[in-house]
Amino acid sequence: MLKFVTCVLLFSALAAYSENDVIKLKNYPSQNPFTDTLRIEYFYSHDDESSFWSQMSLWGSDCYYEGKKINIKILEDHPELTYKVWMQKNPAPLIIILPGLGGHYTSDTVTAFAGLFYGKGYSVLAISSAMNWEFMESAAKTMIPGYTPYDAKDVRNALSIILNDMLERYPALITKKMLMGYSLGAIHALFISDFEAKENLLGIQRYVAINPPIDMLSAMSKLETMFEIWQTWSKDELKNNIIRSTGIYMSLIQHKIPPRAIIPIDEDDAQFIIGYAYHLNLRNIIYSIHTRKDFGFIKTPYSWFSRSALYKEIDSFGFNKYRDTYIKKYFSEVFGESFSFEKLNENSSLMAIEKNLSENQKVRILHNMNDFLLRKKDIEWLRKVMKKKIVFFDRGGHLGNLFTEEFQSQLIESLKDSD
Amino acid sequence: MQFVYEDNFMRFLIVFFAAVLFRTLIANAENPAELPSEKIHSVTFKIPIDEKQYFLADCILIEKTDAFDDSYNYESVIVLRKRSFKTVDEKEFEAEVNISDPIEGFNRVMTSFNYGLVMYVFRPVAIGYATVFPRFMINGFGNLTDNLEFLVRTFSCMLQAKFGDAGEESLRFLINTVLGVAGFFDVADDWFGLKTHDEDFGQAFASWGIGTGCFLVLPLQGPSSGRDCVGLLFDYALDPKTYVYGAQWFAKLNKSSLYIQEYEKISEANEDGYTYVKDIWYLVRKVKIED
Repeated sequence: MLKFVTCVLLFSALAAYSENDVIKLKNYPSQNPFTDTLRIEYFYSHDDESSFWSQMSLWGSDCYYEGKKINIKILEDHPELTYKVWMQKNPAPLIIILPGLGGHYTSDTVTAFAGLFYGKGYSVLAISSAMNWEFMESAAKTMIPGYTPYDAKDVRNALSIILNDMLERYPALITKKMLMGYSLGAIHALFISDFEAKENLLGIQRYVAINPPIDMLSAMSKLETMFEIWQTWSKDELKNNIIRSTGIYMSLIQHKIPPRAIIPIDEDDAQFIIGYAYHLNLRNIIYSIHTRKDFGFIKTPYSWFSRSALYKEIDSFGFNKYRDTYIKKYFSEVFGESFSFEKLNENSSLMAIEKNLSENQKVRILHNMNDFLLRKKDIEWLRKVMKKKIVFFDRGGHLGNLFTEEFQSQLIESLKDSD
Repeated sequence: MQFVYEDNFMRFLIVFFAAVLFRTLIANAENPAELPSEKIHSVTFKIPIDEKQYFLADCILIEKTDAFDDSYNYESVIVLRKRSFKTVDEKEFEAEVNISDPIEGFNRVMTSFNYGLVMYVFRPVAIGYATVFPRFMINGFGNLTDNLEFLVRTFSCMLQAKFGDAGEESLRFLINTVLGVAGFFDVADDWFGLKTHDEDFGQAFASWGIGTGCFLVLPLQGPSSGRDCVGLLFDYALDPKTYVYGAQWFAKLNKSSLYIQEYEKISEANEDGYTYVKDIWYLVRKVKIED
């Protein structure tokens, strides 16, 4: 009996210990990881609707227009890369934002982060994701994005040139630099922290990663599975579900559904919306690659006036096919005989930089317990490696709790106490 | 390695029971990367159930290095997809999300023309306009121009046999015109909860079973379709603004001063904004029609 009681107490203590890094979101109407994820649409810049003047007005204050766009040459023989800055008038810390898969520096999420940080007294710099066409064409030495170490190197190289440019433009306005990434941007931020620990090029004092997937290739496969849910629908279901989910998504982006209300959408429809959004991102990635170099996987001829057939063929590519064609061909040439997907996956995983994550005191991670890109063992691994440097939220799916006060105050908290 | 295996229904049953067995025995086998072996291949079984449906099962083959007999050198882990019955193919999906575009060249030229017009003519004028008029006035003018379009919405509702909605639209017009200063304030919604019905003749034609037709980008108007283009003629004919010089231009300017940012974002964020706008417009249009 004594043994039984001891065991129960021990397990309770262990459970309590493992759960004490979890922040419980109040009044968060969690439904499932996928529907929770759609709540990212509630994270937007609020000032565009509350001011007396509209966003186009010269008197208006709109976060999107307050940012300044600057073009800069990153690589010779490539077009210039555009980055956007929101500079404080007085000296302030600079936060660099790395968006998620396919994310552009003009996206609503980037603008919302910029508005949040700017409002707290930080200056902000945003660039497009390494898997966005603009970055790929202007700043990527790697022709095929998707292999995290190489993508992160490209981002680091671009940032070093941009930061030098900023120091020239705003010599006395940047007191320190912090790097924040979400989703794919988060995994890039963490890899950059590893590079920087070996060679300090950027002088970053804090790295904050929001909802990083553990490895990119598995995450991409998961996104494809989500998109392919339509394959299990009947013809009638296909029509109805697409229309219904589009309608609800429209209501969400127009903020017609209050943030604390239940979203009237089921798990499958939510999966489809998320998967379809990423599928469209993949379309842009492949289009960008194909227009610069023909790898022989796409046969349809095209011209400026006629590209629909080309897109049709590109749309037949999912993330797995992209991996099995473009990534395989490109990296087989780069690595030669030593190439294998297992190796590629291993090097792209956060586990490849476990030592840095464990020892680097500049790194912080914010994650959600019900992020669909995390498996149970990933959570355990993150806890073991990051210890007190990670904070979990009990709900939110993938990025679906960015709008909550709890998340935002924790994010700002994570930026403090940097060297 | 990827291959597709096709066989009869009995094979499906065998695979099914094998899958259940393996699924029970081997935890965490959903991701090949979690398995220790480096020689892992994924396979998709595609087993027809009838002419239209087939069963999908993902299988992971683990190459055994100590096998003596080449024909038995694989162990397999079969993972059932959550819903494994595939019932529609890519063509049916494409038909749902893509609109036919046989005059793409013309449409792309028109899209570029509209882009130039919006960014280099409308945008500077809209900045000046929005600098003079505060947000509440722009919203008020928007309400006023929407109020004038009540005939389009009412007739469209009637043509779709939505008589209740048609009545509400007429009531909204009366209330907003009398109590809302000619429609400057949308008091019908604010005070009485009478929401507007976003209807037009294109939607009415769709409800009669007339097909979408091809994609069509109109100068000054933007994305449309063969059917909606014809509907637009009726929309304009029933809109009083058409008969007042400059009123349609004013309505467009007023609207663009509120929404031009979205247009800018889409144009900047997409390498080929045309395709993005076409796909999204088609989906949104379908939602409106089915509403």
